[in-house]
Amino acid sequence: MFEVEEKTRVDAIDRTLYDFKDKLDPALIVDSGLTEDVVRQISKEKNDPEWMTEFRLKSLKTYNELDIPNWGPPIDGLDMDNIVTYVRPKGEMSAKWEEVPEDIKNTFEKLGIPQSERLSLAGVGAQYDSEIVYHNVRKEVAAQGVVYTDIESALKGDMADMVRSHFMKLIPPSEHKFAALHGAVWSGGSFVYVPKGVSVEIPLQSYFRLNAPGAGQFEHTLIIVEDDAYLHFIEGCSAPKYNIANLHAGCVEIYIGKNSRVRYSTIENWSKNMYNLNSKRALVEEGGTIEWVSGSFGSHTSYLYPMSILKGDNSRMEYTGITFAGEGQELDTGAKVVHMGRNTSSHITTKSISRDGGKSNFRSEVSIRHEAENSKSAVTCESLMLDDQSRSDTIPVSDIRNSKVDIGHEAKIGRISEDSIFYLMSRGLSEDDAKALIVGGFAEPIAKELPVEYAVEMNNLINLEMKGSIG
Amino acid sequence: MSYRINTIPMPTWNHLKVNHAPDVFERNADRSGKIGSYIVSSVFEDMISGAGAEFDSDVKANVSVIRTRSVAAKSGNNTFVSEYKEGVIRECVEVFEGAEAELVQIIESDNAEKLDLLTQVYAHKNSKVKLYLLNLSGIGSDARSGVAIKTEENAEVEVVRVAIGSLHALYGIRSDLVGDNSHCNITTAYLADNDEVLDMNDSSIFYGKETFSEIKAIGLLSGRAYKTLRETVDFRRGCVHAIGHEGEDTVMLSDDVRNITTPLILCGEEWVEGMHAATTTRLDDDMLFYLQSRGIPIRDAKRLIIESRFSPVIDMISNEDIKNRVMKSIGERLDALSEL
Repeated sequence: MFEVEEKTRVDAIDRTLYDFKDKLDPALIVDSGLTEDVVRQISKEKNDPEWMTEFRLKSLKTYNELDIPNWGPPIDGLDMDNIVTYVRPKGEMSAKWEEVPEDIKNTFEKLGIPQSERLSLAGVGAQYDSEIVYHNVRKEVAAQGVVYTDIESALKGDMADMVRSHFMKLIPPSEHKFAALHGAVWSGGSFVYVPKGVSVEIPLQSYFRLNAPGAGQFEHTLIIVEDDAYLHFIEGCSAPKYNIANLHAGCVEIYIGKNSRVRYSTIENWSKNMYNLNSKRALVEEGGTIEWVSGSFGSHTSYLYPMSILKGDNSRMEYTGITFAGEGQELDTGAKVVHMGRNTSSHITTKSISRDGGKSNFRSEVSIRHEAENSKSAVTCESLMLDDQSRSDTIPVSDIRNSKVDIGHEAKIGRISEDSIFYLMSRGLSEDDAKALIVGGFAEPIAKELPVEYAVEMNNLINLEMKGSIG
Repeated sequence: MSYRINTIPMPTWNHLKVNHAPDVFERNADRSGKIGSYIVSSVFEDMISGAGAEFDSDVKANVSVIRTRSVAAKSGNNTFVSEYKEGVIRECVEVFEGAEAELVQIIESDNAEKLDLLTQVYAHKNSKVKLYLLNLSGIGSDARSGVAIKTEENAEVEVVRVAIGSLHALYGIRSDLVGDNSHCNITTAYLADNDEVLDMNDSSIFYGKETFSEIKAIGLLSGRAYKTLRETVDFRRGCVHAIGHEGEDTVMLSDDVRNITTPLILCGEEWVEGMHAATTTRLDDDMLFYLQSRGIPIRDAKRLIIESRFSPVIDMISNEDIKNRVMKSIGERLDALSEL
C-alpha cells in the first residue's frame, strides 16, 4: 500500500507581466520563409558592407545543406516557410527614451527597463522585433573607453575591423542549422568592448522584445573584453503569446582576455509559442573567468547550452542555471565546456522543476583535452518532479583525455527527503514551515547569483504555496 | 552491419560519438555455422538486451549455439558454467518462482576470434539469480555481449561483470524491473589498455513499485584505450518509490586514453529517487607516497592500489576456483600493463 500524501502546490509562472501585445505596425516586414531574395532584402535594408552580404548568402547555403538536429526535443511545429525573419519597427535607434515611438516606449516601460537603467545599470540596449530602438551607456563608463552600442553601428564605425575579425568566428554558421540560419538573417543585438584594465562595476543590459506574431528574432551579441578587465552583462527577453510559432535564434559570442572576468546573466521569459534555439559561446584566455547565470522559464521549446572554451592556462568557468518547465513546454538546457589549457576548472550547477506535464532536460558536455593537465570539473544537477505527468531527464557526457585531472559528476532526481523534514521539525519548525524552507532553498543557490531585481522577479515567478509535502 | 548497437535511449550531440557504439563492432550480416530453427520459451520473445533489439535479432538469426536453462524451486545444483571462445551464442535462463540460480559465463577467446553472445534472464516471482559475465580473453579478440533481464515481483538479479579482455569488447545489459519490489544490480570491474576499445551500455528500466537498481563500475584505463560507458536509470510512470543509483570510479594512467562516460537519468514518475555520481582521477599520490615510504617499490605500490580497487568486485564471485582464475587473469594483465 502506498499512501497518497497531500502535495505542495507550485503555481505556474505568472506571465501577465509579459503577455501584452502591441498592435502590429512595423515600418517594414519581409515575406515569410527563407529564400535568397529575403536574405538579400535584409542585407540591403540594413545597408550591410559587401562582405556581410556574402557572409549571409554563404550562411544560407550552409543552412540548406544542414539537417535539423536529430537528438533534441521535437521542433516539428516550427515551419520556416511561415516565419518572418525581419520586422523593422518604426523609428530610428535613439539614446533618449523620449525619442522612441510611444507604443514601443510604453512596452519597455511596462517591462521596467528604463526604471532599471536609472537605478542599477551602466548602459541599456533595447531591441523591438528585429532592430535596436534604444541604446545608451553612462558617460563615465564611456569615458573609460568602454564601447556599448548596437552591433550594426559597430559594424560600420570605428570598430568595423574588430567586428569583422570576430563575428561568428566562435560560433561559425557551419556549427549547426540554426547557427547557419542566424548567419543568414541576423539583425540587431549589441556590441561591447571593454579595454584593458577597465572594470565596469555596474552591469550593462540588453533587452529583447519580440512583438510580431510568426516572426523570428536573430540578434547578435558580440562582447570583447581585453586583459585584466571585468564586465557583467545582463540579457533579458520576452514576448507575448500567439497561436502561431515564433522563433528566437540569437547568437552570443564572448572573448575574454587574460585575467579578465565576465559574468553573463540571462532571464529568459519567452512566450509559450516560442522556439528558442539560441547559441552562446565564450573563449577564455589565460587566467580568465566566464560565469554564466541562466534562468529559463519561457518558450515552447528551448535548445540552450552556453559553451565555454577554456583555452588559456588557469582559466575558469562557472555555470549556474535554473529551468522551470510547465504545461506544454520542453526546455532542453545545460552547458558545455572544453578544457584546453592547464589548471583549468569548471563548475556546472543546475536545478530544474517540472510540473503540469512540462519536460525539463539537462544536457552537458565536459571535454578535457589532451593538454589540459591538472584540470578540474564538477557537475551537479538536481531535479524536482512535481507530478507524474511531467518529465525530467539528465543527459551528461564527459570526454576525458588526460590522466592528471579530477572530474566529478553528481545528479539527483526525486522528492524532498523526509529525513530533512523530520530534522527541521525536531528543531522546532512546523511541518509546513520545514517543507517551505526546503522547497524555497531548492532555487535559492541560483537566485543569489542573479542581479537582485531578477532574483526578486524569479521568486515571484516561482510562487511556492506550501501545503503538505512536496511530491 | 547495417544497424546501430549499444544506443542510448535519449541521444545527445552527435560530435561526442556516444549515441551508439563505434564502427569497429560491425559484423558481416550473414555468418557461417548457424543452426536451423529452434524454439525457446515465449517469455524471452519480447525481451531486449542493452546492446539493442537489432543486435538481438542478428544473434537470433545467426545463432550457432543455443542453451536454455530452466530452474525450478527445490532443484539440485543450480550453478551453470559456460565457457565461450567464438561463434554466435544465445543463452536463455528462466528461473521459476522461489528458485535460485547462478550463471557463470567465461569468455576466453584467442586472438582474432569473434564472439556474439546474447543472454536472456527471466526471473519469476521471488527468485534469485546471479550472473557472472567474465571476459578474460586474449587482447586480439572481439566480443559483443547483450544481456536482457526481466524481473517479476520480489525477484532479485545480481550481475557481476569483469571486463578485462578482448581488443574490441562490447557489453549491453538491460534490466526491465517489471514486478513490484524487484531488484537488479550491475557491478563491473573493467580494464582497458593499448588500443583496446571498450563499449558498455547498461540500463535499468523501472516499471514496478518499490523497485531498486544500482549500476556501478570501477575501472582502469591505460595506453591508448578508448572506453565508453553509458549508464541509464529510466523511471517509467507508475514505478512509485523506485530507487536507481549509478556510479563510476575511473583511474586513468595515460594521457592517450579516451574516457567517455554518459550517465543518464530519465524520469517520468515523481515518487522516485535517482542518483548518479562519477569520478575520474589519477592514482592517489599520497597513497603512493605512503606505500613507497613503507619500502614498497613504486610499480608494486601502483599495482597494490589497483588490485585493491578491483577487489570489492572480484570478492562478489562466490566460486573460489573461478575467483582465482579471474584474479590470475587480472594479474597477467597488470604484468603487461603499458603504463604501470
